[in-house]
Amino acid sequence: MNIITVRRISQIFFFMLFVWFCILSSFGESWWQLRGWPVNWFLQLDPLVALGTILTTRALYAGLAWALLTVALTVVLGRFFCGWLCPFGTIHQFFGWIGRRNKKFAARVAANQYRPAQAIKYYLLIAMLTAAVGSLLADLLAAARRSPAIPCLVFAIGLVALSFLAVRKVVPNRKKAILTLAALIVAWFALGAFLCTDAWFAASLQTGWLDPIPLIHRSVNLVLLPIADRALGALSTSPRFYVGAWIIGAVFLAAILLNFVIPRFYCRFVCPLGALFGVLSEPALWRVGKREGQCTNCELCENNCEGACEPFEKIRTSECLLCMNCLDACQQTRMTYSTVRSAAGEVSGPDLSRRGFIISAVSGVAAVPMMRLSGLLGANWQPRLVRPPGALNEAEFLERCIKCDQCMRVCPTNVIQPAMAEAGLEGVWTPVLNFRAGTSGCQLNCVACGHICPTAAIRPLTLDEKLGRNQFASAGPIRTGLAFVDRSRCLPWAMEKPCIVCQENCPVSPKAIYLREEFVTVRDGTLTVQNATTTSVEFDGADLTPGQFATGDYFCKPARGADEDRRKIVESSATSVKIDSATPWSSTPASGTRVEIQVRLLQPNVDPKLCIGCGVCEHECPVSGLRAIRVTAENETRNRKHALLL
Amino acid sequence: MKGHVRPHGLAETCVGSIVLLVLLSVAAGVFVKQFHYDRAIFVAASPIAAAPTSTPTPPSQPPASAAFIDLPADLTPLSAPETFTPDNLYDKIDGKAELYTSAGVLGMRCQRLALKSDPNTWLEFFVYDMDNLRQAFAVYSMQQRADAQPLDIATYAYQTKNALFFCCGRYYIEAVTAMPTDPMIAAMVSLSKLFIAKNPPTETRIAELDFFPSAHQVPNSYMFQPENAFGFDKFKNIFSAQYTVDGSNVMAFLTIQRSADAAAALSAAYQQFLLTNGGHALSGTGKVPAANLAELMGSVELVFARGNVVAGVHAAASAPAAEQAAALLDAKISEATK
Amino acid sequence: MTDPRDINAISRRDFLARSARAGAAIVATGVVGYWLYDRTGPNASSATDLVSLPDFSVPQLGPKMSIVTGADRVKTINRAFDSLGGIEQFIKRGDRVLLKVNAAFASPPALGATSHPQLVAEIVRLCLQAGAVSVVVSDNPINDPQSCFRLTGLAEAAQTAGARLFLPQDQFFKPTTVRGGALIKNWPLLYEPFHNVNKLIGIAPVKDHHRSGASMSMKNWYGLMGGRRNIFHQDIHNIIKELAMLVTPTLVVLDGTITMMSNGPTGGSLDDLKQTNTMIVSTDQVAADAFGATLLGKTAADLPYIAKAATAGRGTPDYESLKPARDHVD
Repeated sequence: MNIITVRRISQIFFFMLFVWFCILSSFGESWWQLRGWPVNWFLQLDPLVALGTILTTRALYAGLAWALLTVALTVVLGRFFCGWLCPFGTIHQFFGWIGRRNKKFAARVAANQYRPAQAIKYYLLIAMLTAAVGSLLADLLAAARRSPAIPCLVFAIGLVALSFLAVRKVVPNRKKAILTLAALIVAWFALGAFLCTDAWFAASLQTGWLDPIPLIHRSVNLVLLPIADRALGALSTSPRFYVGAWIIGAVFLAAILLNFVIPRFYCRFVCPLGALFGVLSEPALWRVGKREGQCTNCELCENNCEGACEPFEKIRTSECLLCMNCLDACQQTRMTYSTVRSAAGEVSGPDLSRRGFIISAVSGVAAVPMMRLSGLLGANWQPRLVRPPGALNEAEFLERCIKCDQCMRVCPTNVIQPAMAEAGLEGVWTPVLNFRAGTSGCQLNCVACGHICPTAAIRPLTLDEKLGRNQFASAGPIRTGLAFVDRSRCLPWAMEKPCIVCQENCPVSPKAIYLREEFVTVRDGTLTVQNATTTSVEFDGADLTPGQFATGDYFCKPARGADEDRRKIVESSATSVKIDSATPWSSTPASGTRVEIQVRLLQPNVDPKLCIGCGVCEHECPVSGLRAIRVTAENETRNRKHALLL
Repeated sequence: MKGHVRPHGLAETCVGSIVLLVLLSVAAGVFVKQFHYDRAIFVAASPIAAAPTSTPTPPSQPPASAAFIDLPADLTPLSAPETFTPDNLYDKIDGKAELYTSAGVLGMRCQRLALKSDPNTWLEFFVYDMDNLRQAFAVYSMQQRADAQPLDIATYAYQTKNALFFCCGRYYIEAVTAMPTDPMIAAMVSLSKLFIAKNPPTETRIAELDFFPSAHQVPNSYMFQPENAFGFDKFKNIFSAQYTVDGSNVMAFLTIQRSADAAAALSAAYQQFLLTNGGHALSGTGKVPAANLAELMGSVELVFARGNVVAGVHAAASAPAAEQAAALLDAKISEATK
Repeated sequence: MTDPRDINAISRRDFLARSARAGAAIVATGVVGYWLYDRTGPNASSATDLVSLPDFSVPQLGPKMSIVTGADRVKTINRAFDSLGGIEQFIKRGDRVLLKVNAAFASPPALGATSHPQLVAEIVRLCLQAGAVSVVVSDNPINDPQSCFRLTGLAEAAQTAGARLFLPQDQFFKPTTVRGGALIKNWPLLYEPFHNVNKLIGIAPVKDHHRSGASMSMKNWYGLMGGRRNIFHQDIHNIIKELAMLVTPTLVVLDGTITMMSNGPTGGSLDDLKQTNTMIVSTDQVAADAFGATLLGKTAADLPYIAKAATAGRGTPDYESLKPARDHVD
């Protein structure tokens, strides 16, 4: 059996499995919906997600333990993930194949040459990991202040270790090494104990921008599936919308189209996961390489080399994706996958310069404090940033969210949307609730988003905790924000029009929206009586719209009368109104006196003790542009600093 | 290059086989995994479970004090909620269970609730989870009582002297009382409204019903047959309504197909079915273009395709009556699909 | 051309070396993964654990109080400690002391709104003399910290006397919850200066307070709260009670040498001040405040928080029951 055939089967299998998982991610129990399907498996296998979250949270969350399997296999076999499993890689390989189909041999080989720019993905990886390491760094520096014994201990151990290594001739210049160590310890003290620089550093998980697994989840779930489903209507009865999805689509399209320039462009130059695998595959027990023996220098091996690892010369093992095309192409069966290193030599590690390493490390570490200068985590927090229920407070959220957008895919009412500017640069494509874009508000009894989040940036809530029942009764329900009635736009407040849609739809019990009754004389509603009976009034010089006041909301009151004299209008014509015969006038209005037509308005008010910020009211409000009741993030449970009340 | 066959060693074949085995086990693992999940998360989003939820009620709480739905202020639970699966539905509603199981019921929950002001006046509230609006409408329409009065709490709702019946998205609800006093009826209405507010339906209208003209329609005569309508196995999802034409009642029906070609094919197939089962073709007056008429066992069948819709008349007394009803139907369909 | 046997030997060695590295990598990842494995994820109170303050008191001494009258703070504080057996009773050799001063406003010491620098310097000196290895002076002022500690003279006084000044910054606060409290729940507390500290002395002036009636030793702990703590003014007496529940100091020093009789807590005019020439040192903050009330011309009953704190078991308003040592020094 040809190994290439098996590899293609593997790629197609995992690609179809990935697409199947994306299709399945609708909330529900049917066989084609979420059920127990392990739709996060690819994200869990991704060691960059695991490593990133370990650095930011010092924990390996639940299913991310799958990444240990990937690491173990990579360390033994090499970059099998890139060549045999990664669905994004499969797409790139496919388009690269299309792109080069009509190219001549020489052009293909030239396209597959190693380019120094392939080191960029390592620099990107370093920058992303150093951005994640901020809080560990801060703790390290603070340790110098809190427990001065620690740096001294490290210095002592370092001295001993260096002496040992110097004896073994691993460290060439012992004196220089000790001086360097001493300088580092002094710097540690200076920065930590005296300058308190630990305040500068914070951790932020930004691997999601370029990590291929979250990227392809975003792209398929938020761009391709909604477009396809618009025609099929299979996954959702109403079309799904995602704010700013065009950018996600553009990035995806760009990555794919670049394969026509150089095959597997993204994999070779951009992918930080590939870079991580490149580093991990250094000790690989089995590697692709040349056998001993005559090579005819035909370079057929480089015709379809996916990784641009130059198997013809010194193969760059860290770039080899195990596509096995070189094995298949070689007429002399000189290429092999074995435990012996390539007979033509190897370049086993990535080609990084020290300068590049330092620049990317410093950039990553410095980027986070720079992004935090906007104050979005402090006084300048954005009230539009209403996060899903169960989301952690913002600093911790940004340490966990990998922008995979699974929460947006699963949300039954499509209210979870990718953030654009609400959460700053760090928060682009993280989840934010948009109640106008969805089909309803955040469902009261739904806890789907927290249960699908692979990193617990949104915690998996039980329904009891979300609703504040049983053991959570004293804590109360989880609030995502607070609704505010905009009295300048609300129909009963500003337009003298009855409407209680928000109150009707408020799902909590007792309702968080309560109504205050108010009677207002309508415009041009003070009229002179021509004559009146016990149950009707005819006006002098009136030209009303027939039936205008017959909706059940209008009342007639003598201008000089008291509230008790008000009567409900049941019929109205151009010149007269009839009042409810069950409640006739106690004293019939005399001719020539004035009466007022009044509208009964029920004006909504929000009770902040009860409102959970679910947004159903905002969604249902008939003032459909800028809604007359809007939810903003005040009073959200996840951050006590935003509390409205004691 | 071409024509070159590289020899595959045993090692290569072994590795290949191992990989394929791994792929198979992944597929198997994924398939098995999808059966295991915490129902509470999904059931949480609906008050109905085919089996009780996995979150246990605290033992200190006597079961009668809990209701499986939100209650308005004037009602209190009289007994514990009961839950039924399609298999044991029979235990509660006896022979009627067949009606629900054939329409695809997933489960049913019911509970007795009493007026706080008068515990001797109580109702029983049944919620059937029919999985989608059409199936809910099926059981709703097939049981519509003769003395149905309009009820405006939902699109498909009616009331009788002592009960309310309505569809709320995927649920079919019956609220039945033996003591139909005014406070009890009012409480049932507010209970039903509260249920609808708490479980807002994702589907509220059935598109097909808009294709039925309202003129001459017998009120409350809509029916939905999910399968095997009129004995024809290809007739699925058939909606029908009764019309009074020329003094007699005829049943007009329709169903929406995937495409115009499919509709034409189904229409022809039904005509064929009628003819093979003892019917004779009739020639119509052309009132409805391209309609097929047949006379079968003393009554007239008419079927035609208009765009994606297959429609017609079933068991009419005479051909003119059938054609008249069909013409009305055709006009409405053409208007609705413009 | 190298000997083929050598090639095999080299490649075998290399393979073993790689296997060792691979094995080590797998084991290391496995160990780290196991150690860091977190099945349940973050909980409601989020990843950071709540902190709480330890009990700083020296219980074996029992409740003690001394009331010394005199115009010179340095003399009265020394006499106050002497009447209790010396500060060595409370501060032992090797102790690390935190002095919680009142530096709430950027106000000169003459206006009596903040702890007096002379007093703080003397207490620092006494602690160091008693053998303390470190003395830290801290507070979370209402106005800008730098200006407050500078203009009140507290920065210079503390540092000249040999103490370390600890100015608050955002990362020095950690959330705390008072058990049995309703207000201080998950609220940021100035926690960093308490690292490695085992003795706590609160130093507060006696002041009138517009909202609570008085600001003395219990209200002094308000300066440990972070966040938008002004929200607590909606329930001022209960917050003072909860502050007394939050903090159990070694001692409180209530400086009634100059009392702000009116327009507190900021005062602003010398007319607000009265020379009451009394220095109070006490292990019981409720008793200290109860006595301090008399300097303001009020009784404990005029200050509801005193009774609340007493009911919560934080001390007794009956200061006479502590048999305070009374003295006078010119």
